[in-house]
Amino acid sequence: MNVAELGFWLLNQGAFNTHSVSRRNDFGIVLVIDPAAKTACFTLGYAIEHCFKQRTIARMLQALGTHLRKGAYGMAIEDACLSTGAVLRKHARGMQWQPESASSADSVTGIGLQPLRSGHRSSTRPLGTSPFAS
Amino acid sequence: MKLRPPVAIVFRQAFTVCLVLLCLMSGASPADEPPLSFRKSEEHALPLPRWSEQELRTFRERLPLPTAPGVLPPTDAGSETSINELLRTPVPGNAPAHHFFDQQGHQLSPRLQAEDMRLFIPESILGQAEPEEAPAALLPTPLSALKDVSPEFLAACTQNLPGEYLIDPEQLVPEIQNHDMMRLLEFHAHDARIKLYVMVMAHDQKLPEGAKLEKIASGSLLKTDACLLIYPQGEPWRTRLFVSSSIHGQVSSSFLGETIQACLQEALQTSNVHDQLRRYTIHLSTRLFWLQKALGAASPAASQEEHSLTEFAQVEKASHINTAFSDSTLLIWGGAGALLIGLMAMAFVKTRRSLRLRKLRRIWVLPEPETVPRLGGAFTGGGGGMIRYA
Repeated sequence: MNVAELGFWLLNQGAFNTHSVSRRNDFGIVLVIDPAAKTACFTLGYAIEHCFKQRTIARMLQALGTHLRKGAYGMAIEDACLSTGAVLRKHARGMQWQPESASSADSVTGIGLQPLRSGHRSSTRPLGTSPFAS
Repeated sequence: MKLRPPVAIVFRQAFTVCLVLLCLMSGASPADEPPLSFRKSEEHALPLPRWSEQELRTFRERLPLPTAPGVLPPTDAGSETSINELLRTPVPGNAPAHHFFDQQGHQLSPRLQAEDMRLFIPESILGQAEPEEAPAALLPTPLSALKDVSPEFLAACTQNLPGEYLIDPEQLVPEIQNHDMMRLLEFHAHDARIKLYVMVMAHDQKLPEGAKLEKIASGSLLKTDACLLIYPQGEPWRTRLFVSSSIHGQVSSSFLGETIQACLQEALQTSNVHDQLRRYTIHLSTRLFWLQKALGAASPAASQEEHSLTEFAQVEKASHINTAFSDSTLLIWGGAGALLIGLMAMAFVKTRRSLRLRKLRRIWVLPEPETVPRLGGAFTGGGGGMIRYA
């Protein structure tokens, strides 16, 4: 499985934390980096595909590759996040966050799904022997 | 009946005769009054002042109450020999007054007025208030209420003799104080080279603009080094000082300003207007002596020049006032500016904090277009790009 296939699978099958579960990962972006194969891939959701032109994606990948060649994985990820955020901000509408109006009915846990990120939490793991237990 | 022995009778008669002889030799009994001729001779030898009933009545009306401060309590309430008691009790139609003071046939000494009694009777006993002629100009006269002296006033000042150093045409200074001032100024003129003239005007008067002062005191101000003090009575802060131009050119402005300030402070130590003039004049006289000593003896050629009068300390007073005014203005404006800057800084900090908070709470909402399913399934995405960076 290469980075493109993995990105495709994660975007379509992954239960990421989103504000609207009904739309699933339509607004999601997945960046997969394979240091062994020295490849990286951007996978975009259908709802935001129109925001990224081919030229924009090429420029983002070029900047990503520059950092990855130097081994600066952190810088590469940060630069990718900032550039995608700048692109999305051009097409978005700004408003003040009101925590009271945020609905919790559409949350992931409410419909029985277990987010991928919760797999590493101790509350969800089955009880087992701790390596420090005597 | 028992008969007395003849010897006892003789002894009794002799004793009685001795008693009579003794009485006759002493010559006076406590019940007898001296003869009238002896009394009249005594009165002629020791003339005493006599008070009439009207004078007694006047004194009695002005006496304070026995409980007033300074009044001695009566030693004997029933004594008629106390003059205080006599003054306090109402005068009846007869006896007591005549008993003490025989008016008939007596040539009165020059009648004493109530004001004359004040010379040797303390005020506390007379209970007299302060004399009315002492004006109490405690409040300064507004500038708008000041009026120029009349031309007659200036003419009277011009006609003053050269030796009259106190110029008071309206006789604002009472007689006693006038004599004191004259003696002081004459003493000053006797020993000082810089003569001092004092012109007194009312508290609400001022010199007209362009008034010619050279002719005052018959032109004696120009013949020698002189200093003319224009003194509004009761307002020493409005005094004006003129000196000969030769002196004005040799003295620093700071000394002249200090002179005026020192004289003013000396005068303001009392509230009595006449004492203020006296103190002002005395201190100014002292200062002129110091000035004369500092300048030294004048050369004969310089003393023969015609002197003109120059007013001093007016510009310095104005500049001092302006400086004081500018200092206070600067202080006020500086404080206001600092306050304004502080408020602006606080507003800037608060605005920046709110903007930062607002920025933190800002979210971006993307439009939600309808997505068409692709690849024959409920897929959410798949487009993008890939790079090999090796």
